[in-house]
Amino acid sequence: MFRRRLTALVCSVAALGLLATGCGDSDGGTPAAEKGTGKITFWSFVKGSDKVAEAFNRSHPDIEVTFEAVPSGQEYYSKLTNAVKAGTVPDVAVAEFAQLPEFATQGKLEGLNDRLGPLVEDHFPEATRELVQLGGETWGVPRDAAPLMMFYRNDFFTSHGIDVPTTWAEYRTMTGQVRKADPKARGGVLYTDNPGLLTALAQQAGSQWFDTEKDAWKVSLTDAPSRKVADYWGDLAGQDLVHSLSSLDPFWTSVQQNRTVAYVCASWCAGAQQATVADQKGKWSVAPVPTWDGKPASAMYGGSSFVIPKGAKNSAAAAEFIKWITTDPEGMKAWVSTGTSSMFPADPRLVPVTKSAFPTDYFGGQDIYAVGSESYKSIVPGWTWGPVMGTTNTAVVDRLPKVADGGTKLIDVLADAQRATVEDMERRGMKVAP
Amino acid sequence: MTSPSARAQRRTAALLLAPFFVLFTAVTIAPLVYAGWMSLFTTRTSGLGFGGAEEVFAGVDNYVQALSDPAFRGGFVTIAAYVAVYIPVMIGGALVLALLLDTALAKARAFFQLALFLPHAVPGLIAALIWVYLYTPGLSPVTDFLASGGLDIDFLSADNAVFSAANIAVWEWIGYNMVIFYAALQAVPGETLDAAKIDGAGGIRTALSIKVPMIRPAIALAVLFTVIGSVQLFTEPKVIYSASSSIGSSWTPNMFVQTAAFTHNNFGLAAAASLLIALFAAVLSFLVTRFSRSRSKP
Repeated sequence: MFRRRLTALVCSVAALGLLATGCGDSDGGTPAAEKGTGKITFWSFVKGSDKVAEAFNRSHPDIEVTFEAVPSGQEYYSKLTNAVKAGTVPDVAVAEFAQLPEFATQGKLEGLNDRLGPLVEDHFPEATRELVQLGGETWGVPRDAAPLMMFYRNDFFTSHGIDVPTTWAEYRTMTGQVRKADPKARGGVLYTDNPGLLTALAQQAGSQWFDTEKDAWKVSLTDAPSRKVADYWGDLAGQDLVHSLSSLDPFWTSVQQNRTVAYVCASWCAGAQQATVADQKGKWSVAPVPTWDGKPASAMYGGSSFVIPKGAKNSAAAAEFIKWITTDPEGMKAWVSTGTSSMFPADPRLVPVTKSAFPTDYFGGQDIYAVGSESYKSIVPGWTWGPVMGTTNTAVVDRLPKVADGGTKLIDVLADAQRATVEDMERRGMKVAP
Repeated sequence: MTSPSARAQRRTAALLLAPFFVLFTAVTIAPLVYAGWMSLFTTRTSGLGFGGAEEVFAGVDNYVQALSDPAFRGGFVTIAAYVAVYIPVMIGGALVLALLLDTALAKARAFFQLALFLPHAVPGLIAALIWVYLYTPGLSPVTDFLASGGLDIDFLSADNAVFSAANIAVWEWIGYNMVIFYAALQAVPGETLDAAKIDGAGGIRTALSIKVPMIRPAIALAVLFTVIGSVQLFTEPKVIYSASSSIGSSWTPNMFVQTAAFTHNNFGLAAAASLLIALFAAVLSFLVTRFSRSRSKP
């Protein structure tokens, strides 16, 4: 009921010529109206995917989804790339936001404008829409967002009289206080193997690494906000005020051993924290991510969407399935039915669904979804992922460890990555604005 | 002219050789030709790129790009450093162990032979994973122990990675090569050894002046295989990279190829780089063979 009213609202706005989407698509003649039936295959590495497929099959007798588990990370994207080449693609596949443009620019995805109509406009806020709509086409439907928040050890902060920082200046002070209180403990981490958090912090500061201007990409990994963020974190790492660690085992080990007592991460870290360090139950709290000027500002660190790869045999049914698992409350319920997940739905109206499934006792009863919602609302819009993120990310990651050694400045790492990115884009024939 | 029996013989030979050539063509020649074909193409798109991409002929561009990439060339420097550490330790170690086993003094010969060979039975990937666990600070009992003694070594840092990778490989291959050397030592004629003993040569003298020279072909072969294997170094550093990115994604030539193909989606460049590695290994094995043959001539 509510959704229909909203669709009508959006359509009336569109009718005024403010939105360039066709709202007439949903009735008759166009592919969007053709009801999908039959069999589809579904590739995903996201937790709960099997349960979602089962739940969908139960409630949709016309469509039969076969779920196939795939590895996460780079292996998965190689597998999907090869499948497109070989013509053995699934009908539905998961794609993280950061990887989406690369797939789209390689011609590996089906455009979804015709099939889904205004679905993405109806359900997702601007900052999230911009991640899946590029070059006038919709390439994926968002499932989860990953707004930033700060995790900290409430017990440690209280017993040492440390205030929870709200600005980055205060955050720096906090890291100093933490180290003073316990020489082994640190109040933050600069990941040495994962550029995602650094990227999110740049976005939060207002940076736009990638942008499209007419028919050319603009690449600016070293714009003023990025420079500010790079200098700040490079300094924290250089002064040994934060750890320099791999985001995998070494990071979680440091949390376990009380050596990391505060860190910035996304909403999904709440579930990971709870699952990985179960014995620190009740000691952790969540706070909004610090900002530069004290006004709320956030960004996304992670998040995923669902796509229809080019060559899919049953895209009509695939679209039905994608719609259900991303925007239907029942679909969202199925995602979180498997156990503790602090997944934050990209569709803000579905937050109550995931919230009710997340036990809050680990965080001392705190309403972490409220923190997440505030963070989600304040995400700085305008961010777009680039078309060669594989290259951009390896260029950053390969040089990141040298920052911790003091051998390189963080901003120089970004400058190198900028060069590698532009070079690769030009080699692929893309236009890059100077 | 040819008698029926000779013809039958030839037919049998062809029949027996056929499976080899069929497989050789299917799994070596065909992929090689395909890689050669792929290396001549590159993916091009235009504007923002959302209009899709197409494969276009690139000539030798991919080869030029590979050769001019410092990351690719740097991979060979890594291999050189690795070989310089790995070959003396591994071949030298295997030789010493084989000689020790071969002495009359060695007790429980069968036990040691098996015990030393056992690590080779562990697949390289599994071994690398276990070693990475032993290398990772905070997880590893070894680093904890060293740290408690005041010795802070980061086995996963870029500076130590050559040693860390070589160490994994040494454990894996030392027993294997020892068995080969030990087998070769069994072929050293007893009369020669008896003669040496009569001439008054001790154990060490016999080993250095009689045994080692006599098994030189086996050593040369082991070095050859090890060098070629080293050029293709991949598993150990790849696993190290997954635990700590400090060595970079293109630390060895094969890692460069994998990154080019599966992270950068540049299959043309990956194919060109693969063929360059194959060429390099071919030239290297030719040189090693020539060198060891000229050395082993009396």
